[in-house]
Amino acid sequence: MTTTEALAAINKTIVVEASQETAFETFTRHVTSWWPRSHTVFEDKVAEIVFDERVGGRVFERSTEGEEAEWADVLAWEPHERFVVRWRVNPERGPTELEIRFTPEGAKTRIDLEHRGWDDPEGRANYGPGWDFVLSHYTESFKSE
Amino acid sequence: MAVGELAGELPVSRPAVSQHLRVLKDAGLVRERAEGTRRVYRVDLDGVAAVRSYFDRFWDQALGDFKAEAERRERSKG
Repeated sequence: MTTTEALAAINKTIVVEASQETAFETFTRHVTSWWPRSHTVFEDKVAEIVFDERVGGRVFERSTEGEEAEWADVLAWEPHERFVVRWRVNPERGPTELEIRFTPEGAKTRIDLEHRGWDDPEGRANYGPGWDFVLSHYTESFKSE
Repeated sequence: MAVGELAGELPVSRPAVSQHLRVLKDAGLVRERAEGTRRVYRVDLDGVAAVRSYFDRFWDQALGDFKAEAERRERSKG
């Protein structure tokens, strides 16, 4: 596999039998109700996952004990059409960008997901997002000691 | 990046940085080479690629869960 292929954006498309508004709000305001607990920081102690619904807002988890774990910053917020977040904390979710677009198709809605920024293979590989990613792993490792 | 450069950006000692870099190397996240008396580390692209590949699979699962919930909410509106 070449570097470019290995670090290309992830693209997924699905169609749901729901309105654009329902789809957008399910993804954001109601994310706690469907997000796989296996892919959270607090797992079975997740009280809620919160999107601050504005540019500059945070996406974070809150545990049943009131602790918070940051997931992302909101870079673009255009209800009910699209949003973009920059994922920056959890070690397995490096400083990548996630964009979700919601497009009406009759009574259904198409959802296009792009998860990008795995690295810049051309130049900044050793000093850009790659190192942010590793350093987030690194600082996380202190918490388990 | 050299160990000293990394230590300068982190609130921990240089030996601690070296120790943790060994852990990251064992985990396949960084690679190391000698440059004179220094050890220089770079991000192991294969390691980052593994995380990307993990998310590629994760999104299939998560979008399936999302679809079920969005459709359940739509039906309950009706």
